Amino acid sequence: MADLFGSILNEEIVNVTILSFKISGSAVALATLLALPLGAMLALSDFRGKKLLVTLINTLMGLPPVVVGLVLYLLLSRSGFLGPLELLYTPTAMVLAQFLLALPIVAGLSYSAIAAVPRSVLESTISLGATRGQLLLVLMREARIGILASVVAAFGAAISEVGAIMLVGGNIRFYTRSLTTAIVLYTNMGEFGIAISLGAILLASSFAINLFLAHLQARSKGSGPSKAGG
Amino acid sequence: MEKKIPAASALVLAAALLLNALVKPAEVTRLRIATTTSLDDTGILDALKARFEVENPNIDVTWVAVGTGQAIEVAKRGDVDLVIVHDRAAEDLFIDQGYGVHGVTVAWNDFVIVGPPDDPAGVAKAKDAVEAFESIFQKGSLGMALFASRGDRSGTNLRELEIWGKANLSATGEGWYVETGQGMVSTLRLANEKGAYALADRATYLTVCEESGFELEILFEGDASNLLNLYRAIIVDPGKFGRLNYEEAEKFVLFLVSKEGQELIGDYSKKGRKLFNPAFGVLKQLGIDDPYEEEEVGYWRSKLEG
Repeated sequence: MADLFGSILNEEIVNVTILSFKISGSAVALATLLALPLGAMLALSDFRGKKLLVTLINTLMGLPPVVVGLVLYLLLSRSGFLGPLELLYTPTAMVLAQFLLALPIVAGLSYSAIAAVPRSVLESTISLGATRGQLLLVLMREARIGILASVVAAFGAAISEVGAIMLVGGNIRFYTRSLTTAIVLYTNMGEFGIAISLGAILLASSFAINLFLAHLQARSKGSGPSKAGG
Repeated sequence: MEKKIPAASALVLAAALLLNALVKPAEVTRLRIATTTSLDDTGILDALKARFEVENPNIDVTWVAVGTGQAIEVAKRGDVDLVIVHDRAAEDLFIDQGYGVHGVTVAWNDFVIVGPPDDPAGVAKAKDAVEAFESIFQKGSLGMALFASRGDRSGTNLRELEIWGKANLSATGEGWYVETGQGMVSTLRLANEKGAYALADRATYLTVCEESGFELEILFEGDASNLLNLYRAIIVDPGKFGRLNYEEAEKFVLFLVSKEGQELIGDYSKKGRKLFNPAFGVLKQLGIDDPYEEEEVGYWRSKLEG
């Protein structure tokens, strides 16, 4: 182990990998905290313009990262609206960018999952005298596999994007260089070997995370939806 | 109850990750530089940073490596403290508009025209770079030559356009003129694959061609009036923006023009080849008469002595 990680380059690869997962993990966690209630509310309520809002969210699911990056760059720039926060070229700016990318994905997919819960479940819960809050919990429970899938999808989109974090992070060595921006850099430098290795690391670590999430999914599936409400 | 554990642990994990990402590092000032890809790709900035930080442990030298065009735009918005770029005309404008102060040339090398070994346009026989471009244009129009352009407003691209301008030719849109919109290495790679000509900075060409086994050869070089490549450091005017790290930027430039910094630049080599030459105070010898530069050389000399 010691000689494997001995050289600066290897140490750097470890740092870059950790940063990538920290950034994308934080971004998706934050996005989930906000998007999940949003998705549930959308699924539960009916109002004018709901269809339009859902369509808007679905459109934003395909937001090009580089556009998010550019808009965020202009906002965070010292001459920009959010300039006084001095967040440009920091990991926080990268989290913010991926948060914006992940938000519609979690909201849109969790909305679909919750909306797909059979009406009968809804009606029987209401007939048992559940409050609105309890109803929400039951629904989320019923739809948890789909919700988890939305988080997986958002994480996949975040960890693999490069356009947004390149612009707002700046690809600064030892500070804001992530796996994907490093891949771009090494490709530009003609160091295809290192670039491909980084790609393999990205894929392998994403695979590990997805295995873990699939395990969670399988566990919740095994517990059975009928025990809902505890 | 048991089923809640994954959710709870995921939440705790997420919170921990979040905190970790938001925590600011210790009391170190981060000097932010916008620079060109050539200085980053060759590794010279890493070498300069390492030496500088030994004496200035509380300054963290960081940079974003972009094209000269983007570097100057980023600086105009006040997002960096210092630029180190290589397009004289854009730099002069940047200084004239009051965005940059105390610009001083710190390193030089040169551009070269590279191309396929059989040299279909015969640029090796040209008397200067303008004539070389003219013959590429001629042979290109006949379908006998290709030219790969960066097309990204980088310093190299701007220099290329300047030479086309001197030749009174516009190659944009021609079938034989390929604009890659990418960095120097990608453009050289494309030129190599397609047997095209390209304008490249010598440092990047040397670093990349050998290790990638390119067939491209230097076909034309040594035209001082058209192919000199000067890297200038310019501090972003702190008067324009609040909170710029002027002192740190000044310290770094002072290091660059010091005997130690200039020696480091001149001695820096990759695979046994020197890539840059020290440029502080030698512009006149290189045949460039620039009163602003002379004035600033005087300014930095007095700083070095004081």
